[in-house]
Formats: sequence, C-alpha cells, structure tokens
Amino acid sequence: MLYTFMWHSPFNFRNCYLFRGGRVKYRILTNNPMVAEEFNLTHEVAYSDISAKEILGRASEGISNGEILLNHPLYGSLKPNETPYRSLLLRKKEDISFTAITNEESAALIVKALGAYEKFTDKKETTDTKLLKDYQVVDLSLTASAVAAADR
Amino acid sequence: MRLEIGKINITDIRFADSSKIEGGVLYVNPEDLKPVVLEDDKLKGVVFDIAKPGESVRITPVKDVIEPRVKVEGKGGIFPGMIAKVDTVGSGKTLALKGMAVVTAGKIVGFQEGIIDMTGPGADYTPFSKTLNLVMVCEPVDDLKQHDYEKAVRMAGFRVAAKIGELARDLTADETCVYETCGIKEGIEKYPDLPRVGYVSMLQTQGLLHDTYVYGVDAKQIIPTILSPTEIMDGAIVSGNCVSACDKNPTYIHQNNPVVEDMFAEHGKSFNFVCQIITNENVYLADKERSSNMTAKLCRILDLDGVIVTQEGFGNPDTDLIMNCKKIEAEGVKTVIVTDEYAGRDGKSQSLADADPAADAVVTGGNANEVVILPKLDKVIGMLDYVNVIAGASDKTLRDDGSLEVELQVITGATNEMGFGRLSAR
Repeated sequence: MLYTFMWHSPFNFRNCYLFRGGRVKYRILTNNPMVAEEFNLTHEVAYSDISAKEILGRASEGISNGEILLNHPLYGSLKPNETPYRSLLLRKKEDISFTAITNEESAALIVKALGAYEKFTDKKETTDTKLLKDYQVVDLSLTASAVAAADR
Repeated sequence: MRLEIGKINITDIRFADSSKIEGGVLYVNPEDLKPVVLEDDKLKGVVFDIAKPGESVRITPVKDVIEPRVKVEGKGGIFPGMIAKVDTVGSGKTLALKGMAVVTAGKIVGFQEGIIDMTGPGADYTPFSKTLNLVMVCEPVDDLKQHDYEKAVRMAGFRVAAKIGELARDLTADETCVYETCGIKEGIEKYPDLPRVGYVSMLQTQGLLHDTYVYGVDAKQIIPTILSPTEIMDGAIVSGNCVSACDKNPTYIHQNNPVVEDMFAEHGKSFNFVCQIITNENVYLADKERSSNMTAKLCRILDLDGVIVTQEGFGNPDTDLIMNCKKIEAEGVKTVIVTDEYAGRDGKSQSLADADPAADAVVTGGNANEVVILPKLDKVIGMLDYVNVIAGASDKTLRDDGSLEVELQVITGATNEMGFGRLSAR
C-alpha cells in the first residue's frame, strides 16, 4: 500500500521529473573564452578571466551553496599546471535530476583536484597566442564532451 | 575464435624505385605512398624518412605508431571500420611485419609531446627505438582545425600501414603463432578446473587528442562490451590519441597488447582466458559511473574469478581505474590493476589521483615525473618548435648545450600502462 502511494505520489519529485523528460539544469563555469563563445547562446555560462585553480575555487563556492559537479575536475593526461584553462559543469541547487555523485562527494573531488595543483609545481606560463588557442581548443573539446553527455 | 599471426621479420628499410619486401628488406618508394596520404585534401604535403635503431635521430612530435599487417584468410581486413569494412575480425590468418613500424608525426597542437630517440638514454625508455621506423611527417592545408588535422594524420597513418602490409600478402611467414579462445560453454567444459580470468582494457576517451576508436566508433559512445582478444590483433582498436606520450596506447601497442600476449601464453595452463572487456574513460561523471557499473556486471555475468585491468593516461582516468577495481572486487572477482605513477619529480607524492583499499594488487609502469636528460642528437625528424612547452617539459627544458631536461612523460611509451615498456618501481 505504501509502495503504491509512493509511486503515485505527486511528491515523488524524481519520478515527476523523469516523466517530464527534462534536461539537467546546470551552469558552465569557465575561464576559457572559447567555451564561453561556444555555449553562451545555448547554456548558462559563468565566464571569469581568472586562473584554472581559481575556477576550482569558484566551483567550491558553488558546491558549498548546494551545486553538484557533473564532470571531473581533473584533466585526463594533462597535469593541472600545464593548461591555463578549466571548465566545469555544475548542476544547479534547485534541480532534482539524478547526478553521479552527491554534493559532499563533489566537495571532496574539488579538494583532491586542488591538491594536484600543489603536487605538480612545474608551472609553465605562456603568452604565445597560438599555444593559448591550442589549450583553449582542447579544453573546449573536453567540455563539449561533458555538455553533450549532460544534454542527452 | 582462432587467429594465426604469421610474422614476417623485417631487417632493414630502404628507399628504392619500387616498393616491395625482399629478403626481409622493406623497399619503399615514397612516390608510391604520397598519393595514399594526399588523397585526403586536408593534407598538402608529406615527408617520409627512415629512422633505424642506434642512429643519432630524434623523432618528435610523435602522434601514433602502427605495425603494418595484412589479412590473408578469414573475415574482414585490417583496421575494420576505419580502413576495411566493419566485418568482425580476429579469425583466420594475418601477416604482420615485425621489427618495423610506421610512425606518424605532425604538430597538431603546440604542447603535444611524443619523443622517440633512436639512441642515447632516451632510447632506453621507448620501445620504438628498437624498431625500424618509417616516419611520415604530414603537413596540413592552411588554417586546418586541430580536430581535422588529428583525424587526417590518424587516417593517413592507417592507410600507409595498410598499403605496406599489402606488400607482404604473398609472402611466407618466418614464424607463426596461433591464438585461440573458446566460447563460454566450451571453455567451462574444456578447462573445468582452471580459474576463469578476463582482461579489462580501459580506453582513453575524453575529447580532442584523447580518443580511441573501436571498429570505427568513437569509444566515448560505447557502453562496455566484450571482444575476443584476437580482434585487436587485426586492428579493431586504434588510437586517436596525441597525449600523454608516455602512457597513451599507440595503435601498435593495441595490435601487440602485451597483457593479451601473456594471458594467451597461460591460457589453458594456469587459467582459462575467457575474454577481453573494453570500457572507456569519459569526462562526465555519470558516464564513469555507468561504465564501471557495466564492467563489473559483465565480470559477474561471465563468472570470472579474476581480471587484469589496464588503464590509459592519468588524471581523471585514475578515478575510472579505481571505480572499476572497487566495483569488480565487490562482485567477488579478484583484480590486478596496471597503471603508472605521477608521484612528482622526487617520487614522494601520491602516485594516483584516486585510491581504494580494494586496489591491493597493482603493477606500475614507472613514475612519469622522473626527470631525464636527453642529449642533443644529430638529426630531428619532425620539429622541436615548442620543446619548452610540451607536456612534461618546463622552461628549463632546452639547455645551453642543446640537450633536453624532461620528464619521462614526453617519451612515447615510456611508462606504458599495458606493461609494454620495461620500467617498474622498487
């Protein structure tokens, strides 16, 4: 009886949401102008001209306000200090669609990722425009993979 | 499935007027190969060169390394879904040109690494200093996007390798190895007392410069599935990876997967090698969750007693590795994971970005942050334009005497996570 009630309950928000067939509501936090330009018209983009590490800090603030990470804060096969760009997808607090991890796990992932910045100290800063564009392209490609997954 | 690999030993590569294989020597006329490369209108030029073991030659930036093969019996052709039709491969007979490789080079992005030294201390770290290398440096048309350049170089490499493989079609193999796997029921009946062991192969699938293809499909899009390990010997898995050089899996290493080779050596003796499971390493956290769930489920459904899990790359793929390990162990299936380490230049930091007590059997390919000095060599094939900014380098990389101070990360295959190299840790 209880089961029946839960299944049909208008307060079972998750099921209601799935029936609506809606998308996860998220924002893209980025310091990459190419990501901002690509998604500005179709998604909520929070662009800031700050360092990649500071982007993780901003994500941490969002997570402490109830947001949840949708993509991994570490790159694959690029060390944290090797690229000046980072883009993160954060599910908004008011959204109730499923996520892979919890708010607490999101916070822990960010702490781990920030730790990686301390581990790799061979920082390379560049003003080479062509090189900066290449870093932007790769960050855009990785972010686009996450956006495609979030939007399907 | 039963596959014979006939090995044609190549002892030298020479440029010549006509392309052929004779007496173990590969004769190549670059004019025969140029049209094969330039049929893609995104490439406007290609330069072929030969690098031999022991020569004072540095190849960089390396994109992929490929072993030429040709399918002479059985369904399909080499590189199904990429070059040949998408027939299921892995049975019949395939000839492989051993002792040589096609190496593709081209600066797709500025920070792209990938160094093969044919002599000196760098040569000790890369498996491809021991192969005769036919190197192709591809020049893109003006203003070509990085995505298109990567694809053009990737596909040109496969076309050239397939063309060279065809030269061996009518040759007699110097040596033949037979690889055979059983069906599920057949294996249980044939080896009732042996443990059932599988191989979980993680494929890097993150986006530009970080992709892998299975039968022509971008592996980002797959859910974990089962292969006969003989399929990869016919090129069912190919690399679309440019970074990170030390621990990406070039196509050559998929074709010659050492885990598969060693597991076949024990198949029917100490265990029953049931199958290869492939999974991906995506950036999206829900994808990581889904793929590791499916991988663990497959291990359980197949009633495996144990698996070897190999990784590709580092950083967020460490999370996939640990998720796979933890969930497979939770199904009661023992795991051994094969990875490499980013333990800092002094080797004192934590090696992986993730960890779990379930990961209690680990094989390491070495510390990618270890610093080595690569002396100046007489000849560079490719270009050293951005040597200070490549991944694994620093602003101190190019030294006054022309030598390079770099981390092992820049060297192709140095800390390979399928165990293709010789490094480990004490």
